[in-house]
Amino acid sequence: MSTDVHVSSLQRGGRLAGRGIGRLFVWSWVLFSLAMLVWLILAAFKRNNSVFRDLWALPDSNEIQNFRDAWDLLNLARTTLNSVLTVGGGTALTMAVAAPAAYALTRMYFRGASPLISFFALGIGVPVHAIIIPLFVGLSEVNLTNNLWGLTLTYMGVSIPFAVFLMTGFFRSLPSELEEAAVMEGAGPLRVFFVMLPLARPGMVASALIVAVGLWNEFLLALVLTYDVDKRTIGVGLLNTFGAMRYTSNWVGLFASVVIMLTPLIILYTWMSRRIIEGLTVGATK
Amino acid sequence: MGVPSTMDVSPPHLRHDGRRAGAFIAPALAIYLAIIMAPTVATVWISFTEWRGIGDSPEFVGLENYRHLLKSDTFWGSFNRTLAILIAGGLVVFFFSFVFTMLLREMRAKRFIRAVLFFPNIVPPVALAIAWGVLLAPRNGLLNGFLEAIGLESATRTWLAPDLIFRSVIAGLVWIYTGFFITILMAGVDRIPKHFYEAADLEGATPRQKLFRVTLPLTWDVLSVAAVLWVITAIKTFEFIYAFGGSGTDPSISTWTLPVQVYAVALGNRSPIFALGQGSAIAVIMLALVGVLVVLVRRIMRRRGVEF
Amino acid sequence: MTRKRDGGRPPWLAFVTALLALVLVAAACGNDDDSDVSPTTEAVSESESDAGDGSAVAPEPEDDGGAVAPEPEDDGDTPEPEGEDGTLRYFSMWNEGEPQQEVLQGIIDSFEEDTGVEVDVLWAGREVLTSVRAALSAGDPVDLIGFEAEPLAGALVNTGETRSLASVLEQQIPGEDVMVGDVIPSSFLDIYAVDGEPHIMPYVVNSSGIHYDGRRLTELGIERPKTWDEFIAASLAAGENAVQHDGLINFYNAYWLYWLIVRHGGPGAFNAAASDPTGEAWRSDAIAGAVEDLVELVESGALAEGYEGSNWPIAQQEWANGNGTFNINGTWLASETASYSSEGFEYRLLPFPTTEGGFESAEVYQIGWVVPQAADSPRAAQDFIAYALNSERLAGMVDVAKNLVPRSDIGVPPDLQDAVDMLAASPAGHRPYDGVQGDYPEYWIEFMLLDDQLFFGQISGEEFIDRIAAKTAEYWDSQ
Repeated sequence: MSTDVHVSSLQRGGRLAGRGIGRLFVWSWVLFSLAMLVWLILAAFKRNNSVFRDLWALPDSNEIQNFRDAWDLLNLARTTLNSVLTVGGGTALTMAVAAPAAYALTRMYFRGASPLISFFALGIGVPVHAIIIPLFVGLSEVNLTNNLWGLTLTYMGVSIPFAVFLMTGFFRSLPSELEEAAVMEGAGPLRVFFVMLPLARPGMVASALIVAVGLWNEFLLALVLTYDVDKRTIGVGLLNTFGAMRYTSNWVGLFASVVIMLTPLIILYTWMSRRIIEGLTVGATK
Repeated sequence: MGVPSTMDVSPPHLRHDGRRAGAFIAPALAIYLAIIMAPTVATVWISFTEWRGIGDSPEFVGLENYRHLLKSDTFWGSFNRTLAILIAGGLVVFFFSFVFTMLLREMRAKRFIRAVLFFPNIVPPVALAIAWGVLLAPRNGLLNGFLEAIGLESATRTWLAPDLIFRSVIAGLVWIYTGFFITILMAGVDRIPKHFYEAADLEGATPRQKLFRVTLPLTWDVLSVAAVLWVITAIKTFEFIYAFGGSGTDPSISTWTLPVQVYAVALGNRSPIFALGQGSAIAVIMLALVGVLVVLVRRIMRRRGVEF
Repeated sequence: MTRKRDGGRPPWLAFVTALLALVLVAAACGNDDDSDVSPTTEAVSESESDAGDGSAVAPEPEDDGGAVAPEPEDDGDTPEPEGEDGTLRYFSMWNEGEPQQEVLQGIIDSFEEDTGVEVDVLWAGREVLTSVRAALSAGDPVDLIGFEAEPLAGALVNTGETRSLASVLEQQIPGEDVMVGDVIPSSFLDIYAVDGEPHIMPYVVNSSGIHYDGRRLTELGIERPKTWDEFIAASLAAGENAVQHDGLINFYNAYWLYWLIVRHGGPGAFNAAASDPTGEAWRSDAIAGAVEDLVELVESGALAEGYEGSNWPIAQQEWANGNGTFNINGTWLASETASYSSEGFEYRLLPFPTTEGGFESAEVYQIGWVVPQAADSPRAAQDFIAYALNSERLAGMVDVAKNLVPRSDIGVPPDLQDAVDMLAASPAGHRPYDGVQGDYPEYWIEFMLLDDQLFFGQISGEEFIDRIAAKTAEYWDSQ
C-alpha cells in the first residue's frame, strides 16, 4: 500500500515536472514568435549601417524615412486594393456558385449526386502548383492573364472544390421540415433554395472564411498570372520590394515594408482571430 | 455526425431529376472543369511533348521528358526534398501539434497562445521568408546573435550552409504550420464530451491511457483530415522557399522542391528555359504523389475511429 | 500581328477556351478594362495600329532623330494601348529605386517630351523575362526589353524571337552628328549577332573580377596580386574573412571555376567542355588545373567562415563595411554597395589572377536592348534606342549609376578605372560564363549544382570531373 502511494506520488511528481517543461516550451515558442515580430518592428526604425552591427540596440533615431521609402516602393494602397478585390471577389463569387451546387447535390436527391460530390472532392487534391502551366497558357489564350478578373476567376476555380465539398456537409445536416412545407405550398426549386439558405448561414460563414484565408495567402497564381505593377497583390508586391531592397541593401526599408504590411493585419487579427480560427476549424471537424 | 448520406431514404416528393439540379450545379461545375480539371488533363498531355509555349507548336516526344527527369540530379534533389518536408516535416508538425494541444487544454492563456501560434498562417509567406532569412543569417543573424549574447557561442552554426539549409527551411515550415494543425486538433479535442474524461478519471486512468483510449480514438477522423491536408500542403511547398531565395536571384538550387522546379524550368527564372513539357512532367509526378499518398493515408486511417 | 502563331494549337486549348468563354458569357463580365476575349481585342488593336501608323511615328528618323512627332490624336488613357504606334511598351530589368532605373526614367521622360511617344515602362526586376513571356503569351505588346545579354540570348535571340537591329546602326543619334554604328563598337554587337546582323544593342558593358578596398590592402601591406599563387598568398596574409562570398547564389559560386577554366584553357574552353557530346573534354589538363586551383582556394581557409550559407547581399555588405578583403563579383559591385560602403572606401578591381602558361582575356558582360518579333511599335523602340545612346543621356549610367557604357567617348566612373584598364589591356574578350549560361540554360542548372558541391568542399576534384563528364554526356545524349 505505502509503496503504491509512494510510486504514484512519484509518478505524479514526474508528470507535473513533465508538464512544467512542456509549458515552458510552449511559452518559449510563443515568446520566440513575438520577439521576432518586435525585433522587426524595432529594426524598421533603425539605420541601415548599424542594424546588423548591434542586433539588440534600441532604435536611436526615428528613421521615418524608412517608411517613406517603403511606402513609395510597396505601392501598398494599390496592392492592398488588388488583394481585397481578388480575394473578396473570389470568395463572394465562389460562395455564389458553390452554395447552390452544394444545395442541389444534397437536397435535390437526384441520381448521380453522390459521384458528383466525389468528383468535386477530387479537386481538393489537385494542387494548383501542378496545373499552373496549362492554366497560364490557357488563360493567356483568352486574354485573362494580367487581369484582375482573370485572377478572380482562377481564385474561384481553385476554391470551388473545397467550398462545395464543405457545404454539402452543412446542407446535408439541415432538417427537412421547412423544405417540405415550402414544397407543399408549391414553391419552385429556387424558392425552396432561398428558404433553406438562411439555415446554412453558419456553414457558409465558415466556408467563406476558409476560402478567404486560403486566397489571402495565395501567391503562385498572383505571381504567374499578373505582371503589371498595378495588378500586383500584396504578396507579389512585397516580393518585388524584397528584390529591389536587396539590390540597394536597404534592409531597414525592407523591414519597414513588412511592418507597414503587417499593421492592418495585426489589428484585424486581434479583433477577430477567434472568429477566423473557429471558422477555419469547423471545416476540418465537420 | 449521424446524418444518413445515402440518397435512397430521400422523401419521394423532394426527388428531382438531374435537369433541375443541373441548373444549380452548372456554374460551379463549369468553372471547376475549366480551371482545375481541364488543366489537369492538359498537364498530362503537355508532359508528353516538347514545347516552349508561344511561337512554338508542341511536338510529341512520348516519355522523353520523364526519361530526362530520371537522370537529372536537380530533379532528384527536388523530389527528395519534397519527400523530406512531407515525412520529416510532417512527423515534427504532428508531434508538436499533439503535445501542444494536450498541454494547451489545461492552460489558462489557451486562446491567446493559440492565436499567436496561428498568426503566421495569415501572414503572406514572403514576409515570413524574409523574417526567417534574417533569423538565420550566418554572421549577423538573430539566432546566432542571440546564442552569442547568452554565452552559447559553441552552438552557433552556419544555418544556411548546404548541410543545414534544408533543415532550416523545414524548421521554418514547422513554425508556420504547427499553429494551423494545433487549431484543427484542438477543435477535435474540444468536441469530445467532458464526461468521457470524467469517466476515465473515475477509473483512475493515467494521462497516457487517456490519450490512447479517449483522445486519439475520438479525434481520429479529425486526424485523418489533418493528415490529408498535410500531404497536400507539403507537396505544394513553394512560396516560402521561392521567397527565401529572394526575387531576381533565384532560390539556391539546393533548396528547390518540386513546385519550385516546375516554376523554374517552365514559367520563369532569371535565365529562363521555358521547357513546358519538362515542367509538366514534374507536375504530373506531383499529382501522382498526391494521389498515391492521399489514398494511402485514407486507407491507413480508415475505421480506427469511434463514432459518438 | 505576329504575336500568335497559327496552327499547332493543342486540342485541349479549344476545350479550355470554350469553357472559359462560356463562363465569361454567363457571368456577363466587364469589370476590367482588358477582359475582352481575344478576337475583339485583335480587331481593335489592328485598326488602331493603322491609325497610329499614319500619325505618330511617321517622320522617318533620317531627317533628324530628335524630331518632335505630333502628339497622337487619341487620349492618354485609352483602354487599349495595344497597337498604337504612339506608345512604347518597355520591359526593364531594373527595380524601382536602383540608380540605373532612375537614370533610365530620366531618359524616358525626355524622350516622351521630345517625341510625343508615350513610354509605358515596367520595372520588372531581374525576372523581367518571366514578365515578358507572360505578356507575349497574352498577346500584349512588348516593344523593347532591356536585360543582360546572356539570358536574352538564351531565351529570345537564339530562338529567333527578336528583330535585327541592323537598321538602328544607320540611325542618327538625336542631338549628335553621329550614327549609332559609329559609336557602338561592332565587337560588342558581333557576339550576339544572328546571320551577321546585331540583335542586342548594349547600353551598359560590365565585366567581373576580384574587388578590394585599395586602402585596406595598403594598410595590410599586401602587394596587389597578379597570379593565382599570389592571390592565395595575399588572401592568407589578409587575415580573417579574407574572401567574402555570398554562397547562396549559385551563379556567384560559378564565377570561380568558370574564370579558372578560362584562364587555364583560354576563352571558349569552358563552352567547349560544356558542349562536348562525349563529356570527355572535361578531362583536359587545363580543366584539371582549374579544378585543382579551386580546391586549393576552398581548402586554404581564405574564404570567409560561413560563405557557403551566406544569403546575398550579406557577404558583400560586410565586405563593403570593411569586414573582409576580397570579393569576386561583377563590376556593378561599386554601384550596388555605394550607399553603405565604409567611409573612404577605395574601389579597386583585380583582374582575375593569371595562371602559369595560361591565357589572358576579359569578360564582356553586356546589358542591352532587344526588340521582339512580336513588337507592335518596333520603330518607336528603335528610335528610343538611338535616343538613349546619346552621349549626354548615357552619361547618367556612368555618373549616377557608376556603370561602364559601350561608348568610349563618355568618361568612366572613377571607381571603375581599374575595370576600364583591364578591358583595354586584355588581348581578348569572352562572354560571361563563357556563354554556357546563355547557350545551354538547362545544362547550366545541372552544372551549377555540381559546381556548388565542389566549391563547398563536398566532393573532391576528381569526383567533380567524373560527375560533370558523365552529366555532360548524358545531357547531350538526351537532346
